[in-house]
Amino acid sequence: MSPVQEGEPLVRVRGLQKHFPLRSGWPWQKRETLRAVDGVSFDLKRGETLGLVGESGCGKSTTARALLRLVEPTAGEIHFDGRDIMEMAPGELRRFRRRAQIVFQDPFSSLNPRMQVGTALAEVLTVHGVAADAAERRQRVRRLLERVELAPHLAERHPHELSGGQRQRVGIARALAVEPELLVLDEPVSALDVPVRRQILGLVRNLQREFGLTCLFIAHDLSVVEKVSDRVAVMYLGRIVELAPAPVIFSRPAHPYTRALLAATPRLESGRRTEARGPVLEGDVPSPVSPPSGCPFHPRCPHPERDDECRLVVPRLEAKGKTWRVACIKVTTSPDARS
Amino acid sequence: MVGYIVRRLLAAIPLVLGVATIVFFVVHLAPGDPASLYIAPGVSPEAVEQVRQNMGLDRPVYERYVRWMGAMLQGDFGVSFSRNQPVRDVIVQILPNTLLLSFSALILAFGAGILIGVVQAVRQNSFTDGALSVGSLFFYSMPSFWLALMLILVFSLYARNVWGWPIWFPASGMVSVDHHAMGAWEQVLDRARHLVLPAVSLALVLAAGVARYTRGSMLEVIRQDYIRTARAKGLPERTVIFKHALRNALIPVVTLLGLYLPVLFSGTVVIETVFAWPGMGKLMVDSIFQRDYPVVMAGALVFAVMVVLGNLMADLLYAAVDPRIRYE
Repeated sequence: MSPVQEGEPLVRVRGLQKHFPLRSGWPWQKRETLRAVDGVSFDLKRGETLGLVGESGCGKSTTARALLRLVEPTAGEIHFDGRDIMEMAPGELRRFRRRAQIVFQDPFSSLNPRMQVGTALAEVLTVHGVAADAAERRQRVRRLLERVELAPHLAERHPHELSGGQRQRVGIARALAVEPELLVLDEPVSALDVPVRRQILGLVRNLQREFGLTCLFIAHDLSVVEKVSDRVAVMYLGRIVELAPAPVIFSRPAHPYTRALLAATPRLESGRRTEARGPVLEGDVPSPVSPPSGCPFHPRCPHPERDDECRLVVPRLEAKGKTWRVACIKVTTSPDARS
Repeated sequence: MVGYIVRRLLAAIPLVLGVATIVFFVVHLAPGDPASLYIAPGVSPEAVEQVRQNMGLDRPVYERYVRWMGAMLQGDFGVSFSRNQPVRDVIVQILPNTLLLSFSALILAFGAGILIGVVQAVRQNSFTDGALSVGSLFFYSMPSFWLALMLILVFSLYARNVWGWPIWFPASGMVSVDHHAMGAWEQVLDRARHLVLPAVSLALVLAAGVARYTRGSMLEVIRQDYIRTARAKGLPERTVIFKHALRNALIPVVTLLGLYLPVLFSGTVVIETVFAWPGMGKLMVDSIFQRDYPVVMAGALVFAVMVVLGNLMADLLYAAVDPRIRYE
């Protein structure tokens, strides 16, 4: 983890929404919308890493893609270094793409199968005018591959000749090629085997230290996020339900969903027991096409004080401590008081 | 690679021989006596018998088959009944005309089809997409001889005689009557003008198929993660579509090349007849009507060999466009 600078955050997200209209079969049917992201707000301070966790389909990836304007949000604002990214003209957008990069989840499908690794990396350099000539581009591609601990001769390989871990390293190299300030990692290790996963996480941590990157690290697995994040945001059905410094989330989680998620996570260090071990969740995530009324989590909530109010009131993400925010009407005390 | 090509060619030999055998028996067992077509009425029966002997028609079918096969394997396709000329010379004369027409149509079909498919995929479910889909389906469903006649009607007859358009295209033949009197550049233009209508009517059906196929393939590729990667790199949309998406989408389209060659060649039979284009297709039709057995058989063989070679070429092209495919 890298030193976090105070002051103006690099990224400021306010009320982000992304709804996907579903195609209905017939004109007289009601058009339904899938609320993938339904009002998400957070800041990314310069140099910090925010972990974003949640079950599949909770809107993590859509949030990440909206952050880079790879999908157009339905509503809400995203400011990058003080500029609204939705208002960027093509030229400014290209400069923005140079400052904000993403590593995708699936290293098998996120590389163009017809392009050699070196060509794909050089293309980024060309587009952003990073390297002056072909010789410098080759030199830079070499250095990039070294940086992600890959042999230089792999530049002449096609993606199908590489292993999953090697491909994900190429994906990281591609993202780093333009020396971005913001790096979004969208489940970068979910598709990898466990030993490879640890290597890649180690690499990510080294790179964070080396470049002072601001990162949004997305995972569905809390144990992955714990190692690399300064703060952690937990998402459920398109909303953030808890946002707190990583140590707080992992030792004294407050939201019933976070507690349940943590209880379901196998821990690497068995010695460290947390008092957070709660009941295991039952049932499935409700469909984001027709989310439950009130608190979206109430049908599955194991909280002992759950009542009719939960079914009626939509809880806002409220500050319950200095750096700690929870969206649950039943949580009132600060985490420090609770421990 | 060379080993693979040699093996494919060797494997094609029995196929071509099989085609030759089937064509031989179909032609020879069909009703009709060639000799009767080539004699004047009222000739003495002895003379008729002489003609039959000259054509080799007095011998039993199996003997004719063995003789024909033996000669063919030595490169001798016999003599055309109707043209009194070695069949090989006839084909050498006429084959280039068909190749010119087919390859023009092929380039036209794939060029236009791919472009339309890309536009449709990029604007999926828009009005443009729908209109192009309906158009493709229309041309895909129309019989080519009818399309050819409509093109003649509009772009040749009405364009020149009724509407007086400045541009119209000739409806038949490869060159104008006064072709020999033109300058070199005019001769090229004259040939190109004659090529337009037959090539377009041959290409339309294929282009419609290619467009449908490209659209589907593009839609699949556009959804891939590496296209999102390309956008995240900050590439201009044009580069994303044509460099990253289209090149990958073309991989399955290349297989169409092999599939469409037989369609293309059987198309020339109809189109060349409609446009009086002196090619293999018209030669085949004429020869069948004239019971010109040697030419029909040789022509069918030439088509078979072209399809086999075309398929081999499509497979090799497949390896060239997709780095994941290697032939050993």
